[in-house]
Amino acid sequence: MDYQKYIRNFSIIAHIDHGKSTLADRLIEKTGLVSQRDMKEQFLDNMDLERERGITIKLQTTRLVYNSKDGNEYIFNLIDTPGHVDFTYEVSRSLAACEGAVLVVDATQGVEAQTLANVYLALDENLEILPVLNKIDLASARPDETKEEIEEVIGLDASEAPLISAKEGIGIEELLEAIVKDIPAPSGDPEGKLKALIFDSKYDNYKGVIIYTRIFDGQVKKGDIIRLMNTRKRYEVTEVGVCAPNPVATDMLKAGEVGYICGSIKQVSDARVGDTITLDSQPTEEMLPGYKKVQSMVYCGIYPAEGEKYENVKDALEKLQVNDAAFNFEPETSTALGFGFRCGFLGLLHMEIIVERLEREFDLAVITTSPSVIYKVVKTDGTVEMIQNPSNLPSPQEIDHIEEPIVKADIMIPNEYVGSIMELCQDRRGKLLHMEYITPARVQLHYEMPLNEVIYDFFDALKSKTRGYGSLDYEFVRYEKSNVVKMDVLLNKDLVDAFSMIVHESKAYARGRFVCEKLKEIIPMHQFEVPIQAAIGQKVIARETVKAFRKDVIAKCYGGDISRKKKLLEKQKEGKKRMRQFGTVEVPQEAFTAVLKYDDNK
Amino acid sequence: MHDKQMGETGIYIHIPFCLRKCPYCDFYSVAETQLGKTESASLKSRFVTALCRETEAAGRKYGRASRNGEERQADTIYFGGGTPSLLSSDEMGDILTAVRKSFSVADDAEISIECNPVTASGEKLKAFRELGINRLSIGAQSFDDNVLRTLGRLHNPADITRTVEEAQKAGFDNISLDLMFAIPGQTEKSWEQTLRKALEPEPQHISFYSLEFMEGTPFADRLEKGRMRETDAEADRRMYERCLEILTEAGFNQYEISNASKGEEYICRHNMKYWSLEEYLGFGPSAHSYMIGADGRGQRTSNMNSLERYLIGWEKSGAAGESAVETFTENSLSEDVCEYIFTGLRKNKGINLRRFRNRFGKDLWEFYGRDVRKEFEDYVSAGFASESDGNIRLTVKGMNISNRIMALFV
Repeated sequence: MDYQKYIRNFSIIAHIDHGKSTLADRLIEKTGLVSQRDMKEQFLDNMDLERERGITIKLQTTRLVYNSKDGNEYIFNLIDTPGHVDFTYEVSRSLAACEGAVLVVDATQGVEAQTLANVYLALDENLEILPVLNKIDLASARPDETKEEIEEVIGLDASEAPLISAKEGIGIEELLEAIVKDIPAPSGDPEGKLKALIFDSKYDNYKGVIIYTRIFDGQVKKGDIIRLMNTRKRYEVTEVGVCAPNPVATDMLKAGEVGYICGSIKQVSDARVGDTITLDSQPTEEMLPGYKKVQSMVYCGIYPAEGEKYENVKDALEKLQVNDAAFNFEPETSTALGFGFRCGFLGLLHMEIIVERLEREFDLAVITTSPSVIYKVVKTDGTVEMIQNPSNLPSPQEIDHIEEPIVKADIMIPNEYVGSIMELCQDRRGKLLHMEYITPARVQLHYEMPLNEVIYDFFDALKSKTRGYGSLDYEFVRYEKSNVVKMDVLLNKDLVDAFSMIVHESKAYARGRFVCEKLKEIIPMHQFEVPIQAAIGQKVIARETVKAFRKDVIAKCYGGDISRKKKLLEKQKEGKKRMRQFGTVEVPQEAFTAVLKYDDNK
Repeated sequence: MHDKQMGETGIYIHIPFCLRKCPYCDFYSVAETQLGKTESASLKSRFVTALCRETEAAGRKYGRASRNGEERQADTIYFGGGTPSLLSSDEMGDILTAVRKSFSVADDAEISIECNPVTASGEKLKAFRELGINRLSIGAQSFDDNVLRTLGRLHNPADITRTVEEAQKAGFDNISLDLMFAIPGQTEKSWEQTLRKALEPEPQHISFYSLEFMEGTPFADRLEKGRMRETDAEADRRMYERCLEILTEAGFNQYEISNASKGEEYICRHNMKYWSLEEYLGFGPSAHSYMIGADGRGQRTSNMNSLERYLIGWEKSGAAGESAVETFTENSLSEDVCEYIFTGLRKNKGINLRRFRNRFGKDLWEFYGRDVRKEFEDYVSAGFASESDGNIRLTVKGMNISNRIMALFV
């Protein structure tokens, strides 16, 4: 059991932008695993999109070999975690695979909403937390105040916290030593019954699903028959190994170790994050705690755009699902958009990322409809329906009442923005629970707010109103009776179901006006007038009109003009191809996203 | 004389000289104001020599000196520009002599010349008429001094009236006036007055162009810099529709988007060729030709927009003009079909489906999918187009948005 003394399993947790990925890069570099030459920026973020947005979406794990000053060689398993509010469950599972966490706090920005949220997650898993102050090289760094913040707000002793600059490579050695010293070694029983946690999985074209796992007790090797305890599936192990960070096959994985298992598993959904792996022949009696089926919070329709094949979109969604257990979809049809898919996401960012990946990685043109939360519809006959597609809402006569999901939103902001953010939250039907001064200059607001109001553009508005300094964390608390109504959009008197949305009655007029105005800007002139109406039931609540198109004519077309005019007509035809036809009205694809965007002038 | 029916072709001759460039015009020409008087005279005479060479060369291919039954008779000749009336009657005589030497010209050929009010004296017009030129197209543009100034024209309304009268005195009985509307600063009232004044001397033909801001012109530049504003589409179309009303009242028939004549005999036969995808040869810098090859497909040739290159190409005796050619393209069947349709829909008569079939061997709709036909029929039922007597055509309402409908067929 001696080998476990030289293993350290840990994650890095931080608020978005506090330098987590850069630190991971430095650790990899300093442990000599990766040569300076191969080092890409943000080594662990392997998706282009992540690199571009500077955020981690999918976690990745890597094994580092560190020669400590105490003369021993240590195996560090660094488990990267996603840094956004939408991915809380994934964060919690990777934390569950660790004994400790390195808490990175930006020495200028101090403690932020997600710093706190992640710390609580780590504390829930009984992790040893090692605070680190990053970006110490910046002139604006205020390490002493930040330490105080950590002690006051989080209650951790930060006096010994290493002062580092991941970017400049300052203090990395000290941090590595602190990891050896402060983070406990694992202490499982390698001779016990196999008990291993799935903390991530991804699909590989050659190997099938690759399960990333932390072995708590026992051992697993090629040829073993494993059982996934929650999904009750059984597989023969075809390969085990460690992540360096590319998979390197080994003979076996044993208690305390982190690595991967392959077993010709076809779908990521068969190897769910949080599930417990055991041996089929000698199963463990108890599962690891914390397994839950991920619940989508936000839904929207994804449809192939004009000229895009349904099958291509389906294939791409399947591939994404195989890699993203938090994402799910099922077929649906829309009268306006034809055949498509209803997709469930953890949150709005998750949705945006999936859509962007469809467009970039799969080169698909898709249309997304207004996002919706799940409403609990209590019918007059006493039955309850969970509705996430506005089109499926029963008729008003059948509805006794509707309940909507409420979240607890924790918002952290510099104090000069308190006024404008409270106004924003009030406008979004938020109820202030309480507010507290973290430091004289920083405030945390605790609100209860309908999720419906959060998903549209709340985060964009928060960022915009606080010049990027505001941060948000939220979690579901309960369903609550609410006066929500279905708002439809009619183009030239025809209802376009893809624009329908469920809104609170008090917001319907404003929302209706906004949608009509946006559509008026975007819908091109037709040869007839196009009335744009927002309506609740039969009642029109907002109206705009796109004027009829009066002139599109070439005045002169003589012998020398014909080739040139033909090109002009060809260009015109190209433009038309990018439109979507609804009844008699042509709508550019971007209309669907434009009605969802936050508008500063609003 | 000929054992088989000879083909017919139009001949377009581009005269690339102007007194001064108009700021809205993108036709190729050299402004005399930028040349000395002697330089200008010598350039013109060199140009006429080169032009005669190009004409003779074309004559060897398509005219009297052609072989293999390739000969075409010229049934229309059109002098455009630039300002063709800047040439002397002697120079014009030399060109027409070269044309007649190279091509058999039909007895009843339509021979048109474009002319600007201050450039043509009564004497010159008389000489032109005596050369056999029988149609005159006068660049009047407007009878409103302010509008003429905006357009950068050198003449005033009185010059137009005088030119028309002198032309009539010289024996021209097929006179057209070019007019423009939707010009910044032009009121609808001013446009109506222009139309009335234009009708007073009883011309046989009127062209009425909505101002277009052509790329590369000073007008386009002013528009981009916000120093000029485009007339809004609504007012533009009101002027257009008013124009059609006034012309109809005066006994004119519209036969193309921007053209109307007093009866069929005054329709410009040369221009009609452009809208029926018939053959025409173009001579001079920037001139285009459309000729049908042995395989039945159209061939488009264009000369460069450069007098200099043109002179290099044709001045030397024995030269073949290669360096003056800008493009040569052979149309595919579908390109011919597309051009036939979008130019054909410019005509009030539209496209005769039987004639279409004779020319292309298949029904028009066989070239397009069911959805195109459906969309066209939607336009028909909405009153933008019509289909009757074996013709498809645009209504006036459809002409206003003709690009959209034509785009169906490209």
